[in-house]
Amino acid sequence: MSDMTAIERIEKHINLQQPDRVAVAPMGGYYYATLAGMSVADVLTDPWKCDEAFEYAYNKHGGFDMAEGGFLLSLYLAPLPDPFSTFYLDWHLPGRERPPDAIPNLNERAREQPLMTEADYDLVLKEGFHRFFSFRRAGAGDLARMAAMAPVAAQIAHKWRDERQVPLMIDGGLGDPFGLLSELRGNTNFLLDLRRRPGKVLEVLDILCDGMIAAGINQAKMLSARTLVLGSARASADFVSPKMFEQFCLPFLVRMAHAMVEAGCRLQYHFDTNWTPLLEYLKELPPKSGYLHLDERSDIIAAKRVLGDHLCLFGNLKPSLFVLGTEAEVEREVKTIIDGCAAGGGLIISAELDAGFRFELVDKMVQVTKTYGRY
Amino acid sequence: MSTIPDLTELFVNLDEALTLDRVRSLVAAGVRARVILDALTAGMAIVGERFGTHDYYLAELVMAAEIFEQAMCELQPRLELEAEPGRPAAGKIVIGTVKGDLHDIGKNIFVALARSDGFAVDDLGIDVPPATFVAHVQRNSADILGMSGILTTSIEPMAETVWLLEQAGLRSRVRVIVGGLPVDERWQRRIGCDACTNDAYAGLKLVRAMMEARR
Repeated sequence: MSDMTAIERIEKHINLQQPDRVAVAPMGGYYYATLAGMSVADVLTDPWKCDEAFEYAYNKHGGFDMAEGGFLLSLYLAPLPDPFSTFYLDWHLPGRERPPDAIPNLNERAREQPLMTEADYDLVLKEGFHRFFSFRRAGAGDLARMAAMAPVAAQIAHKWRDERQVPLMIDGGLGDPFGLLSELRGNTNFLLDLRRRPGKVLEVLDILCDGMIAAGINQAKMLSARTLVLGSARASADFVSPKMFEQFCLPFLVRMAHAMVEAGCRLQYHFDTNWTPLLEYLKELPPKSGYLHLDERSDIIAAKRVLGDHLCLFGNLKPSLFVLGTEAEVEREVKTIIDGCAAGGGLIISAELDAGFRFELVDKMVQVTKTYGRY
Repeated sequence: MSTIPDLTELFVNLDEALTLDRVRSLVAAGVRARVILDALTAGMAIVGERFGTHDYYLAELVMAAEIFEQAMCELQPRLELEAEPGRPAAGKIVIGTVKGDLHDIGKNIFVALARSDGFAVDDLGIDVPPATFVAHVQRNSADILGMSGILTTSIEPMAETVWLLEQAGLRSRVRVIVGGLPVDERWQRRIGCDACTNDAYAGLKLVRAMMEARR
C-alpha cells in the first residue's frame, strides 16, 4: 500500500481499519519548547511560538501523524469549570508563579484548607458552580487573551489540517466532573466524601456534568473544534474501586461522550493512571468515537484485547524512558506495543514528553514506529 | 457489651460512626486503651491485606486511615493516663514532596499509613528544598528519608538531596526511598536511593522491611 497522508492514516485508525502503518503522535508541548530553544512559558503563553516549536520538532523528527495546535495556554485559562482552569483551581504557571522553564503545577490542598468545603456541596446545589470562579491566579487580561486566541487557533488548525494534511490532536477540551470536584475538595477529602455523603456528591456531579456538556458544545461551535479532550485520572483503579467508578464516574463520562459525539465531535479520551480493571466499562463509550489515551499505568495490550473492536488506542510509553532509558529500550518498548496492539489498525504510538527529554530517544520512538509499524 | 473482636470487624468494614462509638463505649467500660489500639491495629493489617488483593482500593485505605486517626484522638489521652509507655516508634521517617513539585496525594496517604503503623513521621509538606530534607534527617536522627514527586523533573532535586546527604556524612545512616508515578528501578539507580515505589501501601511494606533489616 502506498503512503497515506497523516489525515488518511488517522482516519483509518480511528475507524479501526488497517492503514499503511501504525501512527505516531507524541504529546510534547514542553519537549518541543526546549528542543526549539524556547522556554516552557514561551509556548504556554504564545500560540504562534507554540506552533513554531512544534513545527521545529515536527521537521527535526521527519513528521508526526498529529499536530499539537498551539494552544496550551487555553487549557489553563479556560474560564469554565475544568480541572485545568486557573480560574477555578490554584494552578501555578511558568513565567508567573513558577520559573519560565518549569511546567504547570497544581497546588492542591488534599486535606487542609481545600478550595471547596463540605458545606459548599449545599451551596453549589443552591447557587451553582460559578461561586468557585476566582481571579486568584488569572485576571481579566487573561480572558481577553483567550478571546484573541480563537482566530489564531483557527489559522494554525487550517495550516496543519488543510495545507499539510495533518490532523490536530485536540482542538478543545471538556472538563471531567469527578476530577474537578476531587481537585476542589482535595483528593483525600473527596475520597472520604464518596463514603460519607455519596448522595450530595452525585447531585453535584450531575449539575457539573450538564454544565460541562453545554460548555463543550459551545466551545466546539466557537472554535469549530473537531476533537475535544475528555480527560480523567482520579476515577481510575489507582483511586477508587470498580464499584465506585460505576456509581460516581461512568454514568457521567458516558453521558458526556455521547453528547459530544452527537454534537459532531471526536474525543481524545485522556485516561491517566490505571484503567486496566475498568476496560470492560469503556465499551459503553460510543464506538469509533475517537481514541483512547492510556499512560504507562494501564496495560495497553489488555486494552487491545478488550476494546480492540471498539476504540483506537493511543500511548503508552513511560515518560521517564525518554530521560533514563536507552535507544535499545525505547525500540523494545515500541515493538512490544506494536506487536500487541497493531493488528487490524487502531493504534497510535505516543508518550507524554516533558521539557528536556532526550531527542535521540524520542526520535527512536518515531522512527521505529514508522518502520517496524508498517503493515 | 462491647467486644474487641467486634471492634476489629467494624473497623475492617470501614463503618466510621459505629467504630468510633465502639471505641468510646470500650473506653467508658474501662477497657485499657492499649487493648483497643491493638484491635484497631489488627484491623488496619486486614485492610492492608485487602488492598493487596484488590478487594479494597485507595478510597478504602484513606477511609481506614481516617477512622484510625480519629480513634487515636480518643485513645491518646487514655494511653497517657494509663502511664502506658506506648509502642516504641517503629522507626523515624522524614518525608516530603521535592522542590518544584506540589503533588502530595500519595505522600499524604503514605504518611497516614505509616503513622497508624507506629512510625514517627516528620512530614515536611510540598516543594521541599534538598537542604531542608538533609537538615531534618540530621535533626531527627531519621532512619528513613522519603521523597515524593510526580513530575519527571523531580529526579533532579531527589538526586541533589542524596548527594547532599553524602556530603553531610549522613547517607550511610539513613535509608532513602522515593515514591511517585514516574519512579522505577532506572530512576532509583540514577539517583542512588535504596528503594522506590508508586504505591503507598507497598511503600509501607518497604519501610517496615528496612527497619527489620536494621534490627
